[in-house]
Amino acid sequence: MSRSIPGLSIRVKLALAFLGSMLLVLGVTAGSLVYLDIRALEQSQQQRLEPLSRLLARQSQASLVFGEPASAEENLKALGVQPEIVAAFIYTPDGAVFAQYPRSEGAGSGGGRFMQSMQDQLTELPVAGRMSLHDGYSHYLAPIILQGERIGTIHLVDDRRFVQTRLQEYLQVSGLVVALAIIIAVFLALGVSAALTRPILRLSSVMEDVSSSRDFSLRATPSSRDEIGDLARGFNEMLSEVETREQALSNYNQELEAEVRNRTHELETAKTAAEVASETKSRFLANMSHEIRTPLNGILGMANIGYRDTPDGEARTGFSHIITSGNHLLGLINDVLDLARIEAGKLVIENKPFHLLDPVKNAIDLVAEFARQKELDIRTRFEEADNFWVLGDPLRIQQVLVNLLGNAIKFTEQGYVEVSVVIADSMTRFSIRDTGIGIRKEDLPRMFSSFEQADTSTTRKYGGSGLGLTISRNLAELMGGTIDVVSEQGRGSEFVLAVPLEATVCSEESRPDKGRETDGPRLDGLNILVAEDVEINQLILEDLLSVEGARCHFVNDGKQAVERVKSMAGDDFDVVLMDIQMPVMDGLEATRLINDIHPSLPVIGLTAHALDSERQRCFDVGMRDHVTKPVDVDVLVRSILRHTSNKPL
Amino acid sequence: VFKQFSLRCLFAAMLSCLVFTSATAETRAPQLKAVYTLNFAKFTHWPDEYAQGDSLGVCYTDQASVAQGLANTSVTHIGDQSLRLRQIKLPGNVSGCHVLFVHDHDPQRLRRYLATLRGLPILLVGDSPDFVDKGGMVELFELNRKIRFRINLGAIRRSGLHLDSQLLDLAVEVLK
Repeated sequence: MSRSIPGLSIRVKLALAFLGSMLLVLGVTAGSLVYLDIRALEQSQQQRLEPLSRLLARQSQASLVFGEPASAEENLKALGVQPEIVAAFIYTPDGAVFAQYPRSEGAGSGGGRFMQSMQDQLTELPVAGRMSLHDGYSHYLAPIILQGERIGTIHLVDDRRFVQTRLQEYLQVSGLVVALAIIIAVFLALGVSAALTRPILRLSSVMEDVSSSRDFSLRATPSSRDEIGDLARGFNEMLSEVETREQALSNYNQELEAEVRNRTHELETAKTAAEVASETKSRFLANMSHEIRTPLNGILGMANIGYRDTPDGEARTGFSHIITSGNHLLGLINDVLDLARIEAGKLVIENKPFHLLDPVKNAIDLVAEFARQKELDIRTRFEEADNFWVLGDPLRIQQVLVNLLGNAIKFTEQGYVEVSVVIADSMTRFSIRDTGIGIRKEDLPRMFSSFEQADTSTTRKYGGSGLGLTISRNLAELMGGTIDVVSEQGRGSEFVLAVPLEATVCSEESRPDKGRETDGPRLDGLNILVAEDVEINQLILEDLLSVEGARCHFVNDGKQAVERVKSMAGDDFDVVLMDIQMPVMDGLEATRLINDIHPSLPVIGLTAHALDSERQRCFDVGMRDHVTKPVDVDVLVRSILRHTSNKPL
Repeated sequence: VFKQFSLRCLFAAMLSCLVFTSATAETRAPQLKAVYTLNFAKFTHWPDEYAQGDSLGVCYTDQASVAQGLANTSVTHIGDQSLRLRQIKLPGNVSGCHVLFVHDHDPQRLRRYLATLRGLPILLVGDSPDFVDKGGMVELFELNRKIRFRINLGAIRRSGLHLDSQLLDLAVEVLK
C-alpha cells in the first residue's frame, strides 16, 4: 500500500492527507467527547447515588435500631422508581444483611445468586461513601450513622448497562456524525484538492501540448498568486526563452538556407560558366585541330607523294624528314585532343568484339620502324593469348600499347623490348618490358601526371609531350583497368596494362582483311566520287587512290556532288568520299540528299574534325564511315573496301 | 457528620444484636426495655434550652424493673452527651431528667403522676398497660415475644419535644 502511494496523483494524495487529518481531528474530538461524557455520566451517577443513599440511610435508622427489617425494606421499595438501581442492601454493623431490595422473597433462585454476588462486593465496612465498579455494576457503599454511632451500612447497586446504553447511544450518534463528516470531508477534500491541483493539471496539460506540438508560443495562465502561479510564470518565462532561442535558431537556419541557396546559385553559375568555358575550350580545340590538320594533311600528303615519286637521294631524305616531323606533330595534336576529351569526360569507350592480338600486333607494326632505327629487338610472348576473342575497345588498347612501346623504345639504347599478353581470370595483362635506363624510385609517383617526364633533362634529351602516360593511364581507367610500373634505375622498366576484357566468340566480319593490304592496287576498277573543296587535298586523294587502281571524279562542293549523283546513270559510282566543311553546301546536307536519291550508294565522310561528336553527326546523316584527315591511306582503303565489298571487283 | 468508631458504639451494636437473637423476651425484658428507652432518646429532640449541656439525664422511678437494665447498660453516651442515670421518687424532683422511665402498677396513681409531668419536656417511657392513654408518651409492651410500642404524639408535641417520624412508622399505634 505504502509502495503505491507515490504512484497516486497529487489530487488523491491531497485528498487523502486532508481526509486523514480531518478523520484524526474528528476521531480525537469524538473520542474525548465520549470519554468526557462517560466521566460525567459516572460522576452524575455518584452524585445521584450519594444523596439517595443518605436519604435511605436516614430513613432506615429507626428500623435498624429497633430491629425492624420489614420497615427498612418498605423504605427501600421506594427505589422502584429508579429503574437503573437493580439492588440495595442495608447491613447491620457486623456486616449481616438487615434489609434488601428487591425483597428476598421476590427474587428467584437466579435472583438469589445475583443478590449474593452483589453482597460479595461488601469487602469491608466503609467509613465514608465509596463508589466502585464491578462487572458492569456500580456499587455505592456508605455507613449509616445515628448520633455519631455507626449503626449499619447501606449498599446501592446501579446497573451500568444504563451507562452502556448511553455509551452506545453516544457511539451511534457520534458514529453517524463521523460518517456524515467523512462524506462531507470526502467531497470537501476532493473539491479542495481539485481546486489545488487544477492549476497544476492545467500547467501540465500546457506542458504536454508544448512538447507534443513544439509550439513554443503557447502560454500557461497563472491563475493564482501562490507557488503554482510562480511555477506557471516560471514555465512561461522558460517558454519565452525557448521561443526566443527557437526563433533565433530558425532565423539562423533561414539565413543559412539563404546562404546555401546563394552559394548554390553562385556555384551553379560558376558551373555553367565553367561548362560554357569547357565547351568553348573543346570547340576551340576541335577548331584548332581542324585548322592544323588541314594544312598538315596537305603537307603530309604532298610529302608522301614526293617521297614515293622521288628516287633515292637528298630530296627523298628531305621528304622523309618532312613526313617524320609531320607525323610527330600529328601525334602531338592527337595527344592534346585526347587529353582534352578525357578531361571533358567526352571520350567514349567502345565495346566490340575483336581478336585480342590485333591491337598488339598493330601497335608493334606501328613502332617497328622506330625500333629498327634504334636496332632494338622486339620480342613477343603471347602464345597463350593467340586466337582469343574478347569484347572491348581495340583502338584504345592499341593507343596505350603504342604509347608504352614508343616510350620503351625511346628510353632503351640497347637490348630489347619484350611484349607479353597474359590472361588471368577476367583481367588481361599486357606487359611491356625494356632494358632501358629505368626510372628512379622517387620519380615513380609523378610518372603519370600530365606533362611530367622523369625529369626535365629527359625532355631535353628524348623529347615528347609528356602526355603519353597520362593519357594511357586515363584510358586504362576508363576501360576499368590499371597501368602499373615496376622499374629499377639502369636495369629497365616494366609497364603493365591490365584491362578486364570479356571473352567472346569469333566474329570474322569485324576482322580486318589484312591479307590484301600489301598486294598491288587494292581498289582496282572502283569509281569514286570525291567532294572536296581544297585543291591540294584533291591532288593528294587523286594520287593515293589512283595508285590503288581507283578512278576518281572530283566536285568542289556538296551541291555539285548531289547533282552528279542525280545525273549518274546506272552504277557510275561505287562510293562517295565526302568532305564535311565545304562552301555552298556542306557534306552533311549533301549526304542526306544523296541518301534520298540513291540509298544504296555508300558515303564515307572525310574530315579534319577528330572529335567523337563530329563522328556521331556524320553517322546521324547516313554516312557509312568516317575517316579523319590527314588521311592514312590504309585506313581509307580498308574503309572503302568494307563498304563496297558486296560489289564485284 | 460521621464520627469515629468507639468501643461504646461497638458494645451498643453487640447489644442490639443480642436483642434480635435473644432466646426469650421474658428473661431479657428489663434489659431490652432499657435499650429501647435509650434508643428512643436517640430519635428525640429536646427544645434547645433543654438540649444544651454535655449530659443527658436518664431517670427512672425506684420501682421500675427496667432500672436494673439501665444500670447494667454499657452505653455511656448518646451523641456528644454523656448519660447521667438517676433514680427518682415520684412525685419528686425531675429537674435534669430528659428521659423518665415510669413503672407503676397502680393506674390511679400513675395517672396522677403523669398529670403532674404534663407539659414538661421530658420523654415519658413506660411499660404499664394503657400508659399512653393515661398521658404517657411511649408505651412498651410485649407482643409475640417481641417488644412493641405505642406512641402518644399529642403528649409529645404538647411537651415541646420532637420525635423522629421513623418511630411513628415502627409504632404499633400512634395517638394524636
